[in-house]
Amino acid sequence: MVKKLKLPYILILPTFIVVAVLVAYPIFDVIRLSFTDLLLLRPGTGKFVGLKTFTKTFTDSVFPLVIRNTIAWMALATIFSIGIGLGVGYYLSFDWKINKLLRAIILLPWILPPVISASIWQWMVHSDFGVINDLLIRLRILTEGFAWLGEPKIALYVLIGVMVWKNVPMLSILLSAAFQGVPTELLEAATIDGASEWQKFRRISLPTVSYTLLILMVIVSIWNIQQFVIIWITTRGGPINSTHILPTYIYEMAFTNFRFGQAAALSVITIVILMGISVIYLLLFRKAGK
Amino acid sequence: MPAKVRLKKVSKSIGLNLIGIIILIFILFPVIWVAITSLKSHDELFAIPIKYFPKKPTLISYKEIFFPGYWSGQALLWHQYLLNSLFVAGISTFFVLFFGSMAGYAFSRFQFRGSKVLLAILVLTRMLPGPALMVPIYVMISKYGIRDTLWGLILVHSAFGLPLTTWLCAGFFRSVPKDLEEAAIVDGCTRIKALLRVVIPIAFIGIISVGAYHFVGSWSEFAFASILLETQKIRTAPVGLGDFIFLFGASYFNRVGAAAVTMAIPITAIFLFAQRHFVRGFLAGAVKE
Repeated sequence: MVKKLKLPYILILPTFIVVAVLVAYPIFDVIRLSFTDLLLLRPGTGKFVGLKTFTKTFTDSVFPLVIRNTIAWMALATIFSIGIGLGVGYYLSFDWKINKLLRAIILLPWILPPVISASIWQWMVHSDFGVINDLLIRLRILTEGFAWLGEPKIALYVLIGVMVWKNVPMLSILLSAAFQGVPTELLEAATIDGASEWQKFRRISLPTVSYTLLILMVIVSIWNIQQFVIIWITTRGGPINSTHILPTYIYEMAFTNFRFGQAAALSVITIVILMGISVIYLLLFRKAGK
Repeated sequence: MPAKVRLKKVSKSIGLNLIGIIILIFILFPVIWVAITSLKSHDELFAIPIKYFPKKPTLISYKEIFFPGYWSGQALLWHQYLLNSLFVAGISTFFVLFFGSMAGYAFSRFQFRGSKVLLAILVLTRMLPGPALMVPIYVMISKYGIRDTLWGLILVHSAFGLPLTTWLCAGFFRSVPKDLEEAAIVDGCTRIKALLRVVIPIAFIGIISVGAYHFVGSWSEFAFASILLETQKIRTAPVGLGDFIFLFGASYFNRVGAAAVTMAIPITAIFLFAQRHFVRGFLAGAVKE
């Protein structure tokens, strides 16, 4: 009997040790590090300096821009990914011939390593040899090549577009599965009652998938923060810091400038912001649950 | 059918197919474009106006990335990078499947004290932003003396993969009827034997697809690989490609493209094989709970 009770704990032990040491402990360690002046791993640094790293962060002239960019990146990439994913997912939920092909290959952008997606798009939007400029010139929208990633006001939005391109496939597959769960009797009854396609979508299909939609919003927000690689590979936060978001700024602070204490403070800020977002979503769930 | 109705039907079907084709182009064009670019010679790469189809497709870029002697900068050890990635992704996939299915089995078959809370904690770790943990993990891995080794990276990938693997495995095990397993135990099987002979074979495809999912993630991972691996010889493919883009970028995009294609082929193959289970597992894990 004793043996039977112990078995499940033994089975989960290795997993929990690894996760505790490498995922849970670092959360506490990053808080500790954020109060130090650690410089790479240089001996003699790492002394407790109180809130100095935080005051330094908040008075840093780049920081407001980074926060603004992070909000833009999170909000726009999430909204557009979900919005377009919803449309494509609805389209995919029907049994049209072309959908068989679409469903088979649509996940390709999602499966590609972010490094590859970044490099593909960097080349596609190249000012002189990029295919996007070539098409726009042929369509007479542009007269000469435009440096999409070289323009501080535009670069971030181009990268948000890349992120959306990467997110939409998985979202549309998941949402099309959710749409297929809409009871057909309901839709047929609505057709008989003379409902238009839009009414059926708006009044029947959309409410049915709303719960899935909320969960996907959480997932996509996390994806968007994880996939800072797309920015790091293409622009490294430039030009003039215009594409820095919190993760890229952490990366640069820690592994280009080696200011670990400062980077830890930025990490803590990132965690707090993400926790805030999670709480908002949680409250939304509660509301949706009622 | 009256002609007017038929016309309406035809135009509707054309319109719908058109939408499908537009989606197809948006999704597929960038992927095809990188493949086309990888087949261009250096002259054609910089031809203006752009050549949509290379007149003389060539495999020279592939040759150049695998045999760096062909060109001056010896910056790319591409076959080495691919092997390193294979090693890291392979071993960490083995780890997460082994320990994750053990833990998943415990969560699916036993009601033990704290099981719900522990599972919830595991799932919550998925919400943590990895980039925010780069600094403390770098410090820790350095302390253990395994920075700049593939084993350090394997450990990190395994730790980040285990929660989802455990969660998905628990789902697959739950779908195996308990009665089957109990019947085997009544027939004289030990619990372990029942697990190996009855439960795992039924949940096998699911478990394999979870492994495929982790493999793809580990194969693609850039952030931790780039900070933990310093020696050039032990870098993984994403880091190697990142360096390459940073150093040469547009001036050698045919080579970048060739590297991208060779790196994408293995995971695309795995993906095509496991796609259906992939999506189903993802749905089960992410959406239904």
